[in-house]
Amino acid sequence: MTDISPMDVEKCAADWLASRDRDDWSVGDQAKLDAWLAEAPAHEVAYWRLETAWTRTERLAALRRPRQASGADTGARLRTLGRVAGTLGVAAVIGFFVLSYAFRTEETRYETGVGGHKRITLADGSLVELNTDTALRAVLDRSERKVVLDRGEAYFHIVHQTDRPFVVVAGDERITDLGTAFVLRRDEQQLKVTLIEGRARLETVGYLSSKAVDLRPGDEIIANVNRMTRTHKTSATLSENLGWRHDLLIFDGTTLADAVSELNRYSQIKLVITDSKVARMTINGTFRTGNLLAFVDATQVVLGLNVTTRGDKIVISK
Amino acid sequence: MAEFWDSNHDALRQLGAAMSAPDLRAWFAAEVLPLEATLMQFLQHNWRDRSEIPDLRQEVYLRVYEAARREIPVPARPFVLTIARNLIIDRLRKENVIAIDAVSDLETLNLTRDEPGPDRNAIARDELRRLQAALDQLPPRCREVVVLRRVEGLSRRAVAERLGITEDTVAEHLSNGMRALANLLHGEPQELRRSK
Repeated sequence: MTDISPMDVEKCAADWLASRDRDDWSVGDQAKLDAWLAEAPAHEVAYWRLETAWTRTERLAALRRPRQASGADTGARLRTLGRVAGTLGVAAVIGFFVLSYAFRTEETRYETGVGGHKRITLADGSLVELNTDTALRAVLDRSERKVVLDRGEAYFHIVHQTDRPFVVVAGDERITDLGTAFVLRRDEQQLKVTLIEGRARLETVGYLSSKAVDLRPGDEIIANVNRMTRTHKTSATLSENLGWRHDLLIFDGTTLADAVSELNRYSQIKLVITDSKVARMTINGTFRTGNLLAFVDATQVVLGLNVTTRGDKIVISK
Repeated sequence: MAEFWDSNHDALRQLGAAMSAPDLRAWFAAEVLPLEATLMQFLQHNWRDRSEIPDLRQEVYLRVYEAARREIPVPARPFVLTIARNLIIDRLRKENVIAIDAVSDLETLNLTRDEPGPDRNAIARDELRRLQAALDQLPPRCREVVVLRRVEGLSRRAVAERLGITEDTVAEHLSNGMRALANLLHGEPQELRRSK
């Protein structure tokens, strides 16, 4: 036996485990933990034992109650949204921008991999938040502020400057010029713009004609090669769709097919549904973007579905 | 997951190779820790001073670890319990205590019993129930922190803001919660928990 009692070692191990459970855990911290673990097998054994139990509690996420769409809750969210929009004022940024743009100053590239999530503050104070598997380039010069979204999804909170518009470009055929707060998601087939606060204009420049649409808070526009559709989202839906900013996916009457395709965006291991009946089942619930396991558990426990692992795929069936 | 482990295990068994660190850790988590309830039951039967039992448990784990580094014991169950028995005998000798019925019930523990594996769906359901039961046994404030962190998925900072406490206090509750949950989840017998 060592001079330090096993329970003191356990206390130490728990403190390490608790401090590792932190957003700003660094490489340096990890090195210190590794050194402590290497000091004595008793340290390792105590740490493993606690870590194994703590990892199991990840499954508790499956217990999370779906949020009630109660009037009070929705009302509160509406008020918050209204207040934020009011404080910021109404900003209209209208811009025009030639398709074959050429950047004069150097651009900065930001990127996230599958499951990644990054927050960036640009030199002008504007906030850009990148969701999973996203790439964008930013150029800020004296006359213009520009971001090109090459792929993925990003949330923008723009600091308004009257003399220096903020332009976001996504795709070859769509040119978007926006202000205040909005989300842009670019898939292979389409571009989706959702305005959270303020006002903005979306412009599409085609070969023969161009089209401009003014957006109001809650407006969501989906544009593909052929057409543009506009829908209006409630503030509750908006905040659900922004769950990823807190690493959460919020499902509310979502079909299993849609939920799975959302979860798959964040994971190298892919969920697959083979049965079309299963695909149409709907679910409510909130899941961590990186926690496929909790979702899989919920489908088993709540929906009574079967789950089998095949290579890097998890198949959900009746 | 279980399938991956099993094939890995078989390969190791055939080779009789020394274990690498990640393998050792995986083996420890998959084969040794699930035996904790049995181990604790055994220690309780054979050691009078309850307050020393967690220390004994860690000592058993340490010995298991040291031995497994040289050679993988297959199967794990009799190996772990034999180590526990030897530890108790060592301790009794050292303390010059005459064992009356210590270690006598080792045989009744049914060393080599292989429990049939329930299907994966049943495991998931049981696991959730077990986790929930464990949560319910934590002290109120500690439970609140763990629930916000694990069930609600809030970050540590968000937990601190929600409860109006510092992040350090959150970490302290988490640290205590992790120890208590490890005891509960690895299956510490009920009476022992109360005596602490």
